[in-house]
Amino acid sequence: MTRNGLRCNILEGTKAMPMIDIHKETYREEALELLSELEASLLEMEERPDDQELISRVFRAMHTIKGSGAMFGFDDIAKFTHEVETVYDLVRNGKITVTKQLIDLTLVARDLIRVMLDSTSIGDPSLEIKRQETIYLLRKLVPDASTGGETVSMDSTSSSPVNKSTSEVNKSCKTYRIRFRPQKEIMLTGINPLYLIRDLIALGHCKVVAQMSALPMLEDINPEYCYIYWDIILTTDKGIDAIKDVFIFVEGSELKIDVIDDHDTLDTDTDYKKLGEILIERGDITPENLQAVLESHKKLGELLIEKGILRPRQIESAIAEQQHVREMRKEHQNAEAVTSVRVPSEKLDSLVNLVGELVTIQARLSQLAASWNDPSLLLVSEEVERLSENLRDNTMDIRMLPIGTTFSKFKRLVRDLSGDLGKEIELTTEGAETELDKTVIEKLGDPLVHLIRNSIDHGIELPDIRKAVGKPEQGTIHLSALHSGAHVLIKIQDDGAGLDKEAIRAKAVEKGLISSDADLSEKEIFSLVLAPGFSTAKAVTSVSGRGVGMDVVKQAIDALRGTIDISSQRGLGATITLTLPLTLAIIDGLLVRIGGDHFVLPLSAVKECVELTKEDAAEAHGRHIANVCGRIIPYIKLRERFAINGSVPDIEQIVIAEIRDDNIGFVVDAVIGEHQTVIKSLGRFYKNVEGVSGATILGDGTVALILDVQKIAMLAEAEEKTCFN
Amino acid sequence: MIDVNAEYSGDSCILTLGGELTVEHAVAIKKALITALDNADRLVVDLGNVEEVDLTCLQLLCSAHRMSVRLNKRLMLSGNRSAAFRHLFYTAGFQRHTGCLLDTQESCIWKEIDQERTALQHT
Repeated sequence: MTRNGLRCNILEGTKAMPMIDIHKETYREEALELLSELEASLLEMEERPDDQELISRVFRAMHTIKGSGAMFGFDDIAKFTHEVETVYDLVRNGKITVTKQLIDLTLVARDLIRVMLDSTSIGDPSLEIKRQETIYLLRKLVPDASTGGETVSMDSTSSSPVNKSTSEVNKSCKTYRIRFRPQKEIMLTGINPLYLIRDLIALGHCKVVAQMSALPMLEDINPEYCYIYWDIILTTDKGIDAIKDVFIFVEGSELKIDVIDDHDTLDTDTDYKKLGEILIERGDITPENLQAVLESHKKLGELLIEKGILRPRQIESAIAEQQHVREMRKEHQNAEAVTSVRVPSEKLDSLVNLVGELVTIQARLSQLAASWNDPSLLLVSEEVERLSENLRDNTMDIRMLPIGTTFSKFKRLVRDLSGDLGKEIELTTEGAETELDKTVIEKLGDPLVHLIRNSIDHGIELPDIRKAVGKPEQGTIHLSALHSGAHVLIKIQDDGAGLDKEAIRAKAVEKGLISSDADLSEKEIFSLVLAPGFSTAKAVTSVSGRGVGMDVVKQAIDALRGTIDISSQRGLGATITLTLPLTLAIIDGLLVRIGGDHFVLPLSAVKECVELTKEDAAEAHGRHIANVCGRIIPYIKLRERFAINGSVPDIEQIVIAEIRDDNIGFVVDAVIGEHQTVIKSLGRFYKNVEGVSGATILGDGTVALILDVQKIAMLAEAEEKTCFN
Repeated sequence: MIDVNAEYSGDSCILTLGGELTVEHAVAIKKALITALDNADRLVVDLGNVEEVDLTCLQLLCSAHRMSVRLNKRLMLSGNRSAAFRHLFYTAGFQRHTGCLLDTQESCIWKEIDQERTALQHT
C-alpha cells in the first residue's frame, strides 16, 4: 500500500536485530498488509463472486504469503497457505465456483494465518486442530482430481504464453530480439526446437513468431526436417547468458540475440521504434528499400508486401516486436509509479521531533533578529522561517495516512457481528481517502469499533421489527470522513431506532447524574450517554451493553483533543460526529502573554482579537460580556482562571475563539503573534490538569502552556451553572 | 501410435489424425495428407484425438494447405482440436493475423485458429 509515496512499518529495535530477524519481521509486516488486502478482497468477492480480477487477487495474496513464508522459515504458514492456494487455483481455472462457504472458510484461514504470524502461537495445540479442520473442509471443496479433464486451458495458451506479473518487469529487465534459424537436420540430432522455445518462454514475458516462408510444398517436404525459423521477443531479468544457455547444445544453427530495450534508459516514452527501423535492424530490408517505399506515402507494411520486398509474416513479426516492447515499457512505467520506500515509523517520529527542535530554534533566531534589528540578519531569519515552515508541512504530510486503512477492517466487523445478532446490516463508507496524522489514526481504531458496535447492537433493529415499522429489512451504517479546516469530521450514521431521550433521562436520574427536575436540551441529554457507567441496554450482549463503551470512546477522543457530538431522531437513526484535529505534533498557535507567563491558543479556533479597556469592562457591570461590533460575546478572564497575580494592564486583549458554533472570548494581557507550536506532552503529574492540552518551548527556552479552549469554555459554563443553581 | 482415418463422401474427405503426431510418424502423416488431397477437393482435418504433437506435424499441415491452394482445392482444420494441439500451436508461435503470400484464397489455417481464440476471449 502506498501512502504519499512512503510506506510505513514498525520495526521495533531494528538496530539490535540480527539480519534474519529483520527479514522475518519485514515478512510479518508484509504478510499482515497482504492479509488485510485479502480480507477486503474476500468481502468484495461476496458481492461479486464472478469477478476474475478479485479471484486472481486472492490467489496472488495467498501465493505471496506462501512463497515468502517458505523463504523466511515460516514453514507452517507456507504449508497451510498452500492448501488455500490450491483451492483458489481451481477457482481461477473455473473448476469450482465461489460460494459463501468458500469465502467463510477463506476468512477463517486468513485469521489463522494472522495468528500463526504471531511468534507466541508456535506449538499451540488448539491452533493445530483448527488448522487441520480448515484444511479438511477446504479439501472437501475440491472435486475429485480425476474429473479434472483437459490439462490446458485457453488462458494458459494466450498469445503471450506466460503472463508474468507487472512486478516482474523490474529495473534489471531487458528485452531481447532473438532470431533462431535452426539447421534443417536439427530434429535428426535429437533436439526438438520447440523445447528450446519453451525454455525461452520460461525465462520471462515472451512473444514467439514462427517464420514459415521456407516451407516447401507437400510433395517436396522432408517431414523430418525443420523449415521454420523464429523471431522471439523476450523480456527477462535473467540476462543474456541465460538465453545463450538455452542454445548451448545447438550446433550449426543461426542464432542472433540483440538487446532491443533495456528498461534502464532515461527514455520514459512508452513509444517504440517505427516499423521501418525495426525491419532495417533485423536485416529484412535495406535503408534504400525503405526510402524508396516511403516516398509513395502509403502504409509501409502494405507497400513492402505489394512491392514483393517482404512477406506478410515478416511485417507481422516486426509489428509483434513493436507491440511487445510498447506493452513492456508501459508495464515498466506502471511498476515504477508504485515504487515506494519502507520506512520504520519510529524514524518518522524522530524526524518530526527534529523538525520540532528546528522550529523551536528558528523561533529563537527570529526573536534575536528582531531584537538586534539588523536588516541582513532579519532577512536570513525570515528565510529560515519560511523554509522551516515548508519542512514542517512536508514532514507532517508524510505522516498523513488515509483513514480508509481503518475503514476496511470495519467491513469485517459489521459482517461478523450482524451475523451473530441475526441482523442484516450493510456498511457504506465515504471519504476513505481523507488523511489524518498517523498517531490520530492509530488511536482512533478502538473508539470507532465501540461506536460501530453500539450502532449494530443498540441502533439497527432486527429485520422483522424493521419490516413492521416500514423500513427496509437491511439496516445501513454509514461511515464517512471529511476535512473541515484544521479538523477532520468522522460521522457514524445509522438508520436504526435512534436514541430514546426519555430513557436516557430516566437512567441519568436513576444513576444520580442529573437531578430529576434538571432542564436539559436535547444535545445535553444525548451527551449524558458519554458519562462513565451509563448504559441503557436492557441486556448485556457480547457486542456491547456493559456501559463502558461510550465512556472509553469519550476518553480516547478527549486524548486526541477531539470532540463527540450526538444527534438523533427517534425511529429514524442516530448520527455521531467526531471532530478531530489533523495533527498532534505541530500546530499553528497564537502566542499570548498574561503577566510574565506565555500561553498558546490553537490558531485554528481563533477568529479575531479585540481590545478590552477598563471602561468597556465597567460598562458590563461586572458581567463578563463584551460588545464587539454589536455582537454580545461572553469572555473568560484567563488571569483569574489561572490565578495569576500582578497588575492588570489598562488595555487587555480579548481573543475570540469559535467553540461549537459559539463565539467565546479569552482575555489576556497581550497578543504576541502567530507561533509555530511544537506540542510537547505534559508529564504524568500534570496529565489530569484540565484546560491545558500540552506545552511548547519558546525561542528563549521558556515554556508556554497550550490552552484547550474548548475545555476551558466547558468548565466555565459548568461553573456558571452551579453558581446559578 | 498414430491413428489415421479418412472418410470420403463425394469430393469431400474428413481426415482424422489421432495419437502421437510426432517426428517418428511424420512420414505416415505426409502420406495420409497427400493421399487425401489426391482423392478429394475438400479436405477437413480433424485433430480432436491428438495426444502428442510436434513441429513436424505443424509443418506438414502448413505445407499441405499451400499445396491445396496450388491445386485449387480446399484444406481446413475441423473445430475439433485437442488441447495438446492447441498448446503446441501457441508455443511454436504459429498464430497469424494474415495469410502468407501463397494464400491467395485467404484460407490460412493458422489465421483461422487465431481468430477463433480472439473470439473466445471476447465472449
